[in-house]
Amino acid sequence: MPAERRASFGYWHDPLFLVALAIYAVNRLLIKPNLHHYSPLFHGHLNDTLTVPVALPLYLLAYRWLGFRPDNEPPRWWEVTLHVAVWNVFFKWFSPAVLHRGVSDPVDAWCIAGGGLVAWAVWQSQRAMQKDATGHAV
Amino acid sequence: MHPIKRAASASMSQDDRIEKRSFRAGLKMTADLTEALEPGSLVTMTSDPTPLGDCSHWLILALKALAAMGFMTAADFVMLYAC
Repeated sequence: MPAERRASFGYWHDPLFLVALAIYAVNRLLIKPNLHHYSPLFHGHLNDTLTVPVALPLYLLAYRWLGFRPDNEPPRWWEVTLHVAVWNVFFKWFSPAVLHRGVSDPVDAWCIAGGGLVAWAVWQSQRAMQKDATGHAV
Repeated sequence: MHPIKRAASASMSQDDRIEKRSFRAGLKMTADLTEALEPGSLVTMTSDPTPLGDCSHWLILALKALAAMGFMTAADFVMLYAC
């Protein structure tokens, strides 16, 4: 085995993706239907915060299948930034203004960006841990 | 021989050796390059110098980018209406 094995991203079986997807499913199926009053956290901000960790791995997997992503590295900072920018424009401007669906809340935009930042930090730390483990194993 | 003259002579012969060595290295590099640029060699096989080769490369890249953008748009609409 080579001494410097490249860190590999799991996409649909990435731990952060699975945890975030589980939180989203619990919120969607159990919490939201049983809430009697509008909750800004459970009805809005939580989903927005989970956007990057849940959606980005699937998007990147599709790009990988299309041959647009050259390797299986964890999401790079510019990949996260680009998607956060596009999603903020789409969900917080285009959708409310043109499709009349959803609301344009600046806090939601910050939630998407914050979730993206935390997810990126977790993916990078996973990568560093993988590299350390490989280094110690050799 | 005077020590200064001896040192100068030794220095000159060393310079001479270095020059000969670098000349030989230069010759070898030229020979390698000539061999690499011959038809059928690895260099000529991997880099297609024709404009069509460049065009097809950019066309494939543009198609991939288009497919990725199409997927992204479709997935965004799915997220908007289904999630």
